[in-house]
Amino acid sequence: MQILRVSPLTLGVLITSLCLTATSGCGPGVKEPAIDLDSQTSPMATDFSSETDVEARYPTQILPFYMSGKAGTFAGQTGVSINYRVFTVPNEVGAIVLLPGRTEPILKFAETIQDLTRQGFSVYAMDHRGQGASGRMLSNPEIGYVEFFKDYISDVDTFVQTIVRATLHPHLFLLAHSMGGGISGMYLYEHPDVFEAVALSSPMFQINTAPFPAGLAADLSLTDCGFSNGQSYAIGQADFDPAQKFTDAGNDVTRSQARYNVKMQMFADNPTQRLGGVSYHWLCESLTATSHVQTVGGASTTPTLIFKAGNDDIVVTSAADAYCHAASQCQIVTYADAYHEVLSERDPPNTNAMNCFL
Amino acid sequence: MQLGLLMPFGVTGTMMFTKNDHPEWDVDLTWEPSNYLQSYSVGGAYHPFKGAFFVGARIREMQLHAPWSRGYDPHFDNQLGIGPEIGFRGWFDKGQRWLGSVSVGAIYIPSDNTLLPVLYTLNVGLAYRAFKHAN
Repeated sequence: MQILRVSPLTLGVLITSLCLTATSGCGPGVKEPAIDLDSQTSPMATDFSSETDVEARYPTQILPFYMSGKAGTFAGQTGVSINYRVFTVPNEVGAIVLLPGRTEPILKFAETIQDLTRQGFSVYAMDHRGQGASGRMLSNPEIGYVEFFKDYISDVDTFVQTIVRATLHPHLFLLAHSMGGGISGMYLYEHPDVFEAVALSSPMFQINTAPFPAGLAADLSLTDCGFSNGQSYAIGQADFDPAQKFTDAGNDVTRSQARYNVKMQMFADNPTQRLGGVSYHWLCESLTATSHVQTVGGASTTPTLIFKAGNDDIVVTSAADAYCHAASQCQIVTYADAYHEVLSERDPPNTNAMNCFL
Repeated sequence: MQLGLLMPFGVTGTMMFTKNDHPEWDVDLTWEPSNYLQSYSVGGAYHPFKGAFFVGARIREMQLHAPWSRGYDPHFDNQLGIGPEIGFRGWFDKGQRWLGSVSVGAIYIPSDNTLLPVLYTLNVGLAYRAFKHAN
């Protein structure tokens, strides 16, 4: 089958470009994917963007490449403007839909998108409502808010049906990070036949509510949502901090200083794309939605690869284990030292990650 | 009426069974609407020391979104919740007209499509005795 030849390539592209240093391979108890890895050829680490000069290349190569993508908007649920960008490759191998995590504009993935297009994939990237260049719904645009989590899913479906599928693609894949992964979990449950294979990086199948126990955090959030409109910052949450340093305790997402600096410069250059902490209502919607996502793995028939960060403070990684264990075609790769943003982590010293798979 | 955590507001109808004017069993129907979760529940309580202290249990029909909201999905949003309760429920006045209560409880949702953590409740209630049936 074609998918068996293409999926590993996609995954190889992703893994190598993820720039990771360590991997434990496939987690215990996790099913092997139904893909013929032996028949694959994979790209080399040198085929991908390097961390060492990414800061220098960002303004001269990566950003101009990003700006060359075809930008557009469409009306999402309740008319909220959804921003997207399309990077078309002539004679494409296939197309990849890219869904970022919470707070992340698709602009943050410019380096990854460029890597994917260089491997022959067209990329369709979409800003979720309430973040990036998509419409904000509160008077303080930095408060992380969504009225209903299912709006995220509806927006993705509109994007796929009206923008992505407007062109015929030989293959269609999904790459999603964090909240994008949580959205994808429910999307795949509702639309199991859209994507041939998916890769989920640190998927938000369960939010890490530490230091609050999950039950207490759910209690506080649900009480606030029951009592008010939940549109204020949840306890401990605040506006985006442009002065946050790489070495601050608040940076628990990447160990790559170069990619961290690129991200912060991007937000400095594009202050309207910043997003702060979460509202109580976002928490309520995400807590209930992810409580569903954790149970739908058993219904998943889509070949799935999950990248799991060993030092993830943002999501509870055992939820991904449970999802993958229940899913019929799912594999997990764990990067032992990585922080949450696997797609923005350090480069690997070698191709350990690739060797694990291929 | 009651105020509390998890469900900010509730309306309760309680039937208290007494023996020699001491509480023995309670059964209540409680409706807890909110801006988010909805709960419709039946609670049962036993007063082991024939005083205000009680231990009990509650079974709930919970809705994770209100049925009138755009976000409502009947498949995922209707959940059965069960859990214990413990607290005090006793008369404020000698005439036994005003009944006060304080209770804590837990809600476990045994579901195949939802994996919410165990939720906890804290409620303070005040009720007025509408009628008394003499033995």
